[in-house]
Amino acid sequence: MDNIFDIKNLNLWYGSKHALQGINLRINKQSVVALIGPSGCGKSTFLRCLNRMNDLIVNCHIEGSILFNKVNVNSERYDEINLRKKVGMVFQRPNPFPMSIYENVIYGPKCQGITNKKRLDELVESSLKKAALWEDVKDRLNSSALGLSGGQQQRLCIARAIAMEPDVILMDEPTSALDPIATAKIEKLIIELKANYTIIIVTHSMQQAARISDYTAFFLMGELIEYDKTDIIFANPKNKKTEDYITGRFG
Amino acid sequence: MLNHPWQVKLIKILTYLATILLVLLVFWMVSFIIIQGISYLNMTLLKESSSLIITTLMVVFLALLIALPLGIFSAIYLQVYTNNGKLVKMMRFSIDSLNGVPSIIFGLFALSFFIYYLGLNRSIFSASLIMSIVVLPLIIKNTEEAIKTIDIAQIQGSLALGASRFTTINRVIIPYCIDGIINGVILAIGKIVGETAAIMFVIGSASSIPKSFFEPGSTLATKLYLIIQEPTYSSNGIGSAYGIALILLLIVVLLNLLVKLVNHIFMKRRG
Repeated sequence: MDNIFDIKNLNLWYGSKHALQGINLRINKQSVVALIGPSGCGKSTFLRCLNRMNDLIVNCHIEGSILFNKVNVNSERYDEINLRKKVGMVFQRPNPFPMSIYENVIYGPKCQGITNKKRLDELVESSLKKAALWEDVKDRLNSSALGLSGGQQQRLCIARAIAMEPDVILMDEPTSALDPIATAKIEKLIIELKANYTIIIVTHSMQQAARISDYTAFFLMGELIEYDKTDIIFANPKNKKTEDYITGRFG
Repeated sequence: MLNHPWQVKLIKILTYLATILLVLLVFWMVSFIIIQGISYLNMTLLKESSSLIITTLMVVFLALLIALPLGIFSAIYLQVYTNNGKLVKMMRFSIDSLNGVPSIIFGLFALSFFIYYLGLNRSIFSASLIMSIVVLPLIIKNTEEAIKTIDIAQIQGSLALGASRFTTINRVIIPYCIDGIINGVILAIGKIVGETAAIMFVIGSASSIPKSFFEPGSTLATKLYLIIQEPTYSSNGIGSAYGIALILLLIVVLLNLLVKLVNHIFMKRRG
């Protein structure tokens, strides 16, 4: 199977804090990869390297290579805007813009210069359908996105990312602000989306990782401790630290 | 600790009294001007002061035209692009200082720099130029405060969708800050309409309706100042000062309502 991301010897410092230490990781196309580990272990920081969101942080220094489709994107010469068109992101708290549902979905495509009304209409419908939100909102596309429930807002954020037609969708604890029913919907959606996208998800819930992911990476104090098929990680971890964590002995 | 019942009661009474006093004071001032001015507010005065009203509006318009983009972009620069370096600290310090400078100093500066040094004519343009500097801190401060309240998740959300910084400023930051900007504009309008000392040396004086921004003129406030100084300047003497003061008040109220209306329409369009 093809790698979409191939990360080699990735190191990251916040000022003098060595937050990611020599990470090596390959991510297969069209799979769901869960990043787990206790708070502050570097899993979110790692996720944000993949669409260069750490560029925004002052004093953040990154070394190593991140090959995305065989091109190193961790380089001044690689335009982060181009990367973000291919690598979408969904955040911890739903963050729809204070605009209509329609405007939210076409925000990305519009930034890319798509102005054809018919094309935009199609994108809105297909993205909302893929995000399992179309039936909820098809009659009120022009009303404010802020009127939606938390779970709907998060699905709108997923639709917004899908509308970019990305290869990868990064999700940073996308269900941590949602109730169990909304969480179940998002999880079901993630499994469906796997057919077309590679999904890398940071999660605090090990049950969630076990339910939805194909591969799981366990981070601890800035290091990648173990990375394998999810079944193996949860049934037969090779590393003692992984076993301690998933059995709840620390965390 | 202020937790004795009588202390709580005392504080309550003091705040209550202060509020009443303030409301009464404003009410008394406004009603005084209305009562004194209303009998002079007739067609003759309106005709006499039509050039004043137009000149005032021209200064408001041009000063805001200069100060708004300058102020908004400075605020965005300060909040979004920089990381509290030396330059930023210096900028902030000068903005704060600018806010505290008495307007007569602005007047002196305008006279010596614009008129004597640069050789500009005494005109509405020169007056607008100095007023744009006077109101700049108001616009910057209010916009900055509004930017500070933006949820960082909104900015990240925009950038994560492949938007450039420019697009993010244009479509997320500025719409979000509209309230703060409007607040600054309202304060700025009040300041410009009421300002005398900063502009009286550089606007010249004229009683006809100005045909361009490069002609001299008198605003309501500068004329008011002249009449109070020398009541013979007006046919009705000191009486027309009250009339003009009333017009001045009305214009501030009307302009503020207009700004709020524009804001309302803008918000509605945004949904």
